[in-house]
Amino acid sequence: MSDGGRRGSREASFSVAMHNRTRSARAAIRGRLDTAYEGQRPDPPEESYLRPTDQPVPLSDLERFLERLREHQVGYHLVAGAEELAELMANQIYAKRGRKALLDNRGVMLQCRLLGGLRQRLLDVIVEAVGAGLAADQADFGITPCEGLIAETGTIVLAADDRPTLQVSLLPGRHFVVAREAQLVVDLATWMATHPGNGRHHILLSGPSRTADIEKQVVIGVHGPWKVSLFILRDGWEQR
Amino acid sequence: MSGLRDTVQTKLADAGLQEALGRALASSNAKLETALSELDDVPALKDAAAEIRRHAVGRMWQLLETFEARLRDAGTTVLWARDATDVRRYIAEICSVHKVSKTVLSKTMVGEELGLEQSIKDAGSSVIQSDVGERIIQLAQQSPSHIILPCIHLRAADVGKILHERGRMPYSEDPAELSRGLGKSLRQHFLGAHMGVSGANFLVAETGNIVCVENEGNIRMGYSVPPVHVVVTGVEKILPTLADARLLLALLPRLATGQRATCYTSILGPAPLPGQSRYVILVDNGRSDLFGAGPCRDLLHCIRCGACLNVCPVYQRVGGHAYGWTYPGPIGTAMASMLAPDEAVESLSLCTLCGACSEVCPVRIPLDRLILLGRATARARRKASEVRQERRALRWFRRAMSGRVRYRMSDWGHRLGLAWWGGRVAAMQEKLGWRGERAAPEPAPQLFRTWWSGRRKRGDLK
Ligand code: SF4
Repeated sequence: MSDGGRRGSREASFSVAMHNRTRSARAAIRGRLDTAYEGQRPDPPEESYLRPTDQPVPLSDLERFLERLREHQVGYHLVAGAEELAELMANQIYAKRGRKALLDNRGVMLQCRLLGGLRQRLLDVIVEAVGAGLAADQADFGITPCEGLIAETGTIVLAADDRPTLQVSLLPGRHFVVAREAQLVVDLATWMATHPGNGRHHILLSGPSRTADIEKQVVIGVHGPWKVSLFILRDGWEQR
Repeated sequence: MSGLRDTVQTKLADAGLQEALGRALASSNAKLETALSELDDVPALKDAAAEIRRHAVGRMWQLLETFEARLRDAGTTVLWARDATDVRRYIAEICSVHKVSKTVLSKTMVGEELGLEQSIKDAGSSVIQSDVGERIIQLAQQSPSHIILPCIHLRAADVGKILHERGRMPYSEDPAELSRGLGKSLRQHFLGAHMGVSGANFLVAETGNIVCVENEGNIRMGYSVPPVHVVVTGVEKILPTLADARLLLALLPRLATGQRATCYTSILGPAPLPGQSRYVILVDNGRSDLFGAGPCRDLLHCIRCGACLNVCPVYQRVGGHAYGWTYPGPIGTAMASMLAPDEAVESLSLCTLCGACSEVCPVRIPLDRLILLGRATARARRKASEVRQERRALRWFRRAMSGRVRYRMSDWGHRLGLAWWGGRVAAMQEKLGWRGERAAPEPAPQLFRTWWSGRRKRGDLK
């Protein structure tokens, strides 16, 4: 991985022959499709299913979301404030004998000073923010914020802009996510409507890594984390 | 034809295959029912999904141009490929430019279709299939037999034997132990890979997003860890907007694996990640022929959920390898006459035209009708002498069936023929292979017409 930069920045030397090849392939594909159009273009689709549900989140949606999390084998904790969050998370890391924890220290994580809170409580555990030197594949715990929670499918929306951040939620065996209750929306449509495409990479996470390739038997934790836990800061957490 | 018949006989007699398919497909279909029962109005949702795909495929070129522009502006290299040869050249060039010698490949049906694994090897790189099922298939040196579950034809014991023989781990029959063992060994390959290659489920024109759906996390590994990421995908995966993808995402996991949502749905932005090179290879490989082939254009609407395979009574018994090419089951059969190599075209005769596939399809592809159409197309390609004989026989049949007297005479003729030359008829049927799977029914003791007029006379009919 060390020569990633060198390997990753060489498009300039892509040969002229290849440029010509892709140009002629493009023209050929376009020609074939154009011939087939024969002047007929289909009408636009019915819009009825494309409209997002923009109703306010009814109370019961939190219950529905939590039920979905249980079905997906995602652990969750409802916490009142930053202190309780740090305390609870530190206890979990301690109980699981974690040695190294890596944090994607953005947004709500900064607001509730989680990095400091964990370091204070876990003196013999290495707790680092992304970019400080700890590689994600060396960490037992990856801790990230999230961009949204979707009640209908029990989905957590993660966002990332670079490879190191993407790896925090993927390479460690356990993944902790910190969310605010206010981030909960009814469905994916509502989330998309409030988060227009901003060019970022998003991951819709609905449970820990799993496979059912052998005899359709579900096995948890194959490539990604085998344990995902969500910490939801209840409304009004800033005051506590 | 005898090749296909022998293959089918072998598959039917393979107790291991029958056990593996029976177990896996029963579980898939039960989960599918539960997953769909959660939705309010499945038919309306399917109508909307079909409409979205029809619209997107219909405007494919304009959407692809927009998608290409979004990606280019953001720094992603877009390459167009007419066929497997183009893809092979691009892969060779990418491997040489970036000095790639280790590649992780995520499961992609387009990749299977193009022989991608071999192309990467030919480019001088090692290649490891990173999906658990595909890795098993790679180690067993077989081909996938299902578009979602590549090793559905193997039992845990078979997998255990393969991994043990290849020196990967001690023999086990426990799916959890086998899957985790493979996951562990794959981790090192991910961390050391120079290039990750994956497919895509949807391409979004408006925003330049690439959507990938999975459960294991190997696709995420493929684009999050190596410094070079290559997406190889069919041109038909294009959609106008992310809202369209959202609707299809409500159906795809439910139909594919019986889940509300897969564990990971990656929505990649148009730009490569910092310090990473990304290439998107847009593949035609016969798709533009389908586009111009009248009703066959519907085949481009497919979102590769695999549900038609799971419900197909033929697939349930013979599995995917009997079809003889990359795409098995109803969707593969329907595409066979247009895209499959000649030797796989006879798989068209496997279909019973029961219509279960068309019924389950989330984008309402009329698979059974297209298979029928495929048979006509394949027939047009067959040897003129074979077709002449068949035509002559059918002409006789039509004549016999289309006149009252002729119909009666043929009925009696049939009975007399069986009475006098029954042995010879049976021998002929045997020779033609008609009696291999079932016995010819004996004629009913009474003709239908005799029975019908008897009822009339007795006054049974008002
Ligand atoms: S044809 Fe329909 S049911 Fe079959 S794989 Fe494609 S989308 Fe799924």
